[in-house]
Amino acid sequence: MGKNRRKQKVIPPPLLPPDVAEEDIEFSDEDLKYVKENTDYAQFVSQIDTAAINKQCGGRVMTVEDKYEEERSKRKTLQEEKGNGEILVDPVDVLPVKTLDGKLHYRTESKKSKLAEAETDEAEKDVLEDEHVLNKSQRREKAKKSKREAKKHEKDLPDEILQEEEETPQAAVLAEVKEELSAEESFENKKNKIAELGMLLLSDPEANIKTLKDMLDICKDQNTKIVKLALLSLLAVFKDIIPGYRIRLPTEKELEMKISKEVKKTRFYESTLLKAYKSYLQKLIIFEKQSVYNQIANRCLCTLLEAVPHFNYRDNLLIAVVRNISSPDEVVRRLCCSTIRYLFSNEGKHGGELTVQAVRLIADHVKAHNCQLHPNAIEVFMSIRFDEDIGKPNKEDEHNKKYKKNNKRKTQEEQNQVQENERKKSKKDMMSKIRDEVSADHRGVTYEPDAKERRKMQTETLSAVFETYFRILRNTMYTIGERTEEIPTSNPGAFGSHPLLAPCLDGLAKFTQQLDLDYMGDLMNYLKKLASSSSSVSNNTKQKNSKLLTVSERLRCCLVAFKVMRSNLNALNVDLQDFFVQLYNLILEYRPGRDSGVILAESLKIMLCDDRHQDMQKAAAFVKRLATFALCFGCAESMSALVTLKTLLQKNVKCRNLLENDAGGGSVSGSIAKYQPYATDPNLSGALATVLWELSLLSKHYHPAISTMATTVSNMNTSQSQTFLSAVTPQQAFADFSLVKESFEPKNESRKLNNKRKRESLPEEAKNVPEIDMVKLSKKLKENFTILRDIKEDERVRMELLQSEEKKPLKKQNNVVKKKLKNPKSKKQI
Amino acid sequence: MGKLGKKARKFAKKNLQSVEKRSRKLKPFIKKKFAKRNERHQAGDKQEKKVEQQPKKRCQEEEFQDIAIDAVFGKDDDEVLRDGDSDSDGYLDELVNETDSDIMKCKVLSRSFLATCCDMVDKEQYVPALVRLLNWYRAACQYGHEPSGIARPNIYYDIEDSETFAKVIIFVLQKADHTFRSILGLSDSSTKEKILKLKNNPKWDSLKPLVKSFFRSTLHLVKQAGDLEIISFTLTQLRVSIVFLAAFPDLLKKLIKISVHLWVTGEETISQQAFLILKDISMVFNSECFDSCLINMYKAFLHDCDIPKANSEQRPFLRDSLVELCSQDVQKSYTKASVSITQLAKLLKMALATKNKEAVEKIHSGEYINCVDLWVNFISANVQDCDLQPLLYTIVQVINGVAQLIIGPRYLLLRVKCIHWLNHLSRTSGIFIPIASLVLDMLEYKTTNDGEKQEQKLEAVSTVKLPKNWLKSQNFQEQCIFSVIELLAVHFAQWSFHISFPDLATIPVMRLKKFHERSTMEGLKRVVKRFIEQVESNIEFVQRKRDDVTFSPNDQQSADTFMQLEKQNANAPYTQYYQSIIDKALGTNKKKKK
Repeated sequence: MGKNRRKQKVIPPPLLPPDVAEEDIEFSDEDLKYVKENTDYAQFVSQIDTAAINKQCGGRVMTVEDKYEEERSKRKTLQEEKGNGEILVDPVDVLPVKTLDGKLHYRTESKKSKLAEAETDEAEKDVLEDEHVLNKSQRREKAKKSKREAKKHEKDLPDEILQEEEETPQAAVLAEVKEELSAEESFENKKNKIAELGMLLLSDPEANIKTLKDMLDICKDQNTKIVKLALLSLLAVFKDIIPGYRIRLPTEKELEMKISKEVKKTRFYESTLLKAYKSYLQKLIIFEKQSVYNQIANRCLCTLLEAVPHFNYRDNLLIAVVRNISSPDEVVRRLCCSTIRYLFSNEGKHGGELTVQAVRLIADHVKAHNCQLHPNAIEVFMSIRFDEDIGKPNKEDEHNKKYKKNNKRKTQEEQNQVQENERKKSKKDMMSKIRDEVSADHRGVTYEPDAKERRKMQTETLSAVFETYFRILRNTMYTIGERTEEIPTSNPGAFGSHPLLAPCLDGLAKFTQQLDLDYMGDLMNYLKKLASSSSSVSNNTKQKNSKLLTVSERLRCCLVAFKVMRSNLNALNVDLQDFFVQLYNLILEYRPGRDSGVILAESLKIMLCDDRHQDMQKAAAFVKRLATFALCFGCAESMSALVTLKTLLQKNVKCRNLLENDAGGGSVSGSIAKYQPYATDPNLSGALATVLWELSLLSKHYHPAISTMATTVSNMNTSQSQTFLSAVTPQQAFADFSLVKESFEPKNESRKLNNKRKRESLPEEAKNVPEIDMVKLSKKLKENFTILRDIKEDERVRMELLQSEEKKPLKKQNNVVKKKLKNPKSKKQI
Repeated sequence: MGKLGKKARKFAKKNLQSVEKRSRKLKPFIKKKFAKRNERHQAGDKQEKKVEQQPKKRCQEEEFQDIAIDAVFGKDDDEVLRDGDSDSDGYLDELVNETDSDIMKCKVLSRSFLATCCDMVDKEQYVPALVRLLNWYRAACQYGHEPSGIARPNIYYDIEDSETFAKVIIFVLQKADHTFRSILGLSDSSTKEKILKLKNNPKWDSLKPLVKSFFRSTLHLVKQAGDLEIISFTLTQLRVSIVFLAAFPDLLKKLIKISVHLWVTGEETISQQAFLILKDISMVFNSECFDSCLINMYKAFLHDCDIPKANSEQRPFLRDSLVELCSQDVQKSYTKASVSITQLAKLLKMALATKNKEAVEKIHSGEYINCVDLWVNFISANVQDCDLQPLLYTIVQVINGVAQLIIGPRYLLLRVKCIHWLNHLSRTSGIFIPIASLVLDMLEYKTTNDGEKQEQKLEAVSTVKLPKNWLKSQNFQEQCIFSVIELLAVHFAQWSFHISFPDLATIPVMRLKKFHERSTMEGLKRVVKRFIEQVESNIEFVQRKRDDVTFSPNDQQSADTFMQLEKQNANAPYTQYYQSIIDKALGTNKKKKK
């Protein structure tokens, strides 16, 4: 090909001028000229076609190569070398133009050498492209394009020049377009990148797992919005991608073994996923500490923990969530608490392991902050559920522990070993009881490990929960009993003086059935000390008042104590007298509006109405105190007190002596002959020696329900037919008669009005007094008033004078009228 | 008035003679000045009316929906009164002097003539003389305020001098009623029914215009007069002959309106006189007048409560007089009271449920508080005679709600007032209303800065809310304690002779003892200590009496008669202590006023 081009190029310069000269000179040789011209055109066409094809092919190759090289440059450095090769191609385009313009042989020869090199390179590239990139359809398209371009080149040579000129402004335009991209467009571009990458991952995660790194890189952007969007997008992706099992990385031995392709793919996928997930979590934990990203990071952490509690790195998630359980930010706190409640109530996803870890972490958290957390942190425990089966072995353990008291061995290890032995014995007993059936054996074998593990986990959970509760109780006692020297060091936290005490007591009330007998004694002791905190701190200064427990808090302690005893069916012989003493005194210290009346009503119900065994002295003391209480407080409190009082009298028939005034009551009252209203001990108050005189005053209460109730109670002893059990409880009474719920309209409106007018005489007496004085004064004032009116008459006279003389005859006429009037009067008088 | 002027002008153009036209040209110069003055007065009245009407509408629409219905009724009354004003008002015909009227163009009242007429009227009951005298009376009442329209242009009345002027007014006001009754043959103690029967009496036909002219002139005098004692004297005399108004319902409504206005805006004596008139009207006339009196007074009272005044001393008088009026007919007042108290309860329930600022401010407004005060006094005055238990129950619930709406030391005055109301209701009705929890809660009002001794003057603040600065002062805490002791003393005084007094006083004494231990102020300690000692001594006193008793709590009657002899005896120790506390409280009130 090269040789042919050289010969052809040598010929055109000498031939062109003589051909033209011949045409101009000779007309007879037209035929010959036409033939010669045709041959020349044929030669030019062949030359032109090859050049055009080469140029066109070069351009296309450049465009395609540019695109692929851009992509390959990210992956391989070798492609860059090929890019260098492109530079050689550029001067090739320029050469044919110059050859046409220039006529010197030397320049053309030097360019020929370059053309040869370029041609060889182009040939090689064409081969590579055809093999890897181009398809049949693309080849056909190129062929069509080449034909079209060939037709164009048939016209004239200057067309080529024009085409070359058109290419250069396109490049400039592209350069300008790139510069015009602004920040907003880049923002949207990044958004689209995030979306595209996410879609890729969701469509085919195994193939596109590497793009996770790209998304993680976007999180490093400076724009906060983009970072947030990236974090949320990754959250959605991980939710879908993460498998339903926990990924276990292969060991060294497994790596050495030969593996099939499929296994290789899955291992690669899993390891990449874990790496990305780990880095994502690390970023979330870092962002959580920054205020800008705090809420979003916590939201991502909580959502992941809820969605995939079974997956790897769940411990890290749990630690982060528990750390924010008492966050000052309310939104974050609610998120974390609801997440942990979700974990507790849906143990099927994680098999209960997370429950143990979460409770343990919360216990450590409470310990670290010295019990100064938001109450929500511990209310979370209320969502924990324990199996009923846990109680059975515990009870067995309890019975065995009683026998162990003789041995006096209390180390934990020994207890564990002994428990294991006990379990074996229990199993043997079960085997012996059942007829040696094969099916029973199989069932026992299959379920034993799960049951054992579950019990272990739940016992650990219980121990952590109670550890937390007891720590709170101990801390409360410690803060109350502090000495004066330590006042400045201990200040109440941001959540109040004892923020965790109320949820702690509520939790204890709920989990009483799971409580061990060994701990019950301690618990009761703590509750006693807390409930009786006022007596021990009576000598403290005012500054400590904020640290004392309120009446409602102490009532809660009494409530919990009774609930604990109730749930254990009074198995223990614990002395509850102290709690009755506290209730007896707290009734006097109750303050509506500051203390919760609902708790008072509940404590009255549980401690007095539902109590089975009561001492007569104690019952009488409470009856008397409740009656006194009803005299001083509002409708709701009075009604609940009267309901309780009625219940007590119905249960204790002997206490009804309080309704009668017997002179010889000394025998029943016992040792104490007089009632002591200010006594602190109900057994020593001597209530049986007195009478319920409060009822006669309560029967005059303005509220009809209370007066009716008081009358009913006072008549209880005489009319025994009315002794039906009342369906109303103190709690319902308190709720029904509170101001907010109760209607202000009286039910029975009686309009029997008797008019008695007794005050008619009083105001009449006041009538006569001012008259005498007024007559004199009024006369005087009227004279003054008339003087003022005389002034007005003078003004009138002046007006009349000012007008004109015409008034004068009118005046004369008036005088005449006056004179005439006088005359008939004198006649009449005669 | 403008309309009448136009009509008068048209009438004058058509009917006057040439000579009289000249005299008219002279007169307008004088009348124009007075006309301007009248216009100014009217404009002032209109402005006042506009100002008054707006807040009334707001109050009625916002809070008392049912009372808005009464407002419509009130509007009808206004229309009726306006129609009454448009009636022609002219001089009476003098039959005897018809011949003279053509000749005489202007009549001037002289002393001698007046003396003659007075003698004829007083001694002989000569009707023509009475006619002349009433015409002169009318001229005197409207002296300086003549209306522009004159029905009889040929007659012009003028008064000679000041003494004659005074004599005319005093004589007519004093003697008119007696003269009317003597002519008709009625006694002074005649009732409304007899007066209504007068229509059958032939003498009434000739005398009716005279009576009407008298009342119309007197009402005009009451309206226009600016002097205190003139109005007072006029009202006093008007009461005597109020029965005759039965024949003139339009004038009666007008009188009610004027009296209500004077009752609310007048000074003490005028207000009392106006109230006495309203009371007589409600007693003598039928139930419709009673309703209109009650409604008008109620609206005026509430409207007055909205206006903040420096001197609120007159408000108790208004309240007491309104209660007295309501007590005349408890049956009808009961209906009004139940509607109003139901509205109060609804507002309170809204405030308790929502705790909105707007709802709470309505509760704490002067209008709401004074309305409660009104009904508390009404129920207290009538609860023993009539069966007002439903009203009592509802109002007690309302007061408890107001006291518990917002718990805080800034609302000390409101809480003290609520407890006063409850004590008052309990004392008058004999029903037990517990106040101990409300009172003892005030002991918990802790002040920060106990050491400061800022002696700020506790002026009588009529507002419900106290400023924050006062909470830190020592005087505030002293006032808290004194109020607690005073209120408990009143509560215990009522039940100091009841058989259950020892039990009633147990919890308050216990709380006061703890307070006594905690407080550091010696003055307060001394006062509290003495109170505790007195109560405990009374406890022992009742306890000893109680031990000798033989009946049981079942026996309610014997429990009520317990210690009746001691109750009547004023030498009981607690009663004396209670009197001393009350005297101290009154003394402090006097000091505050000074």
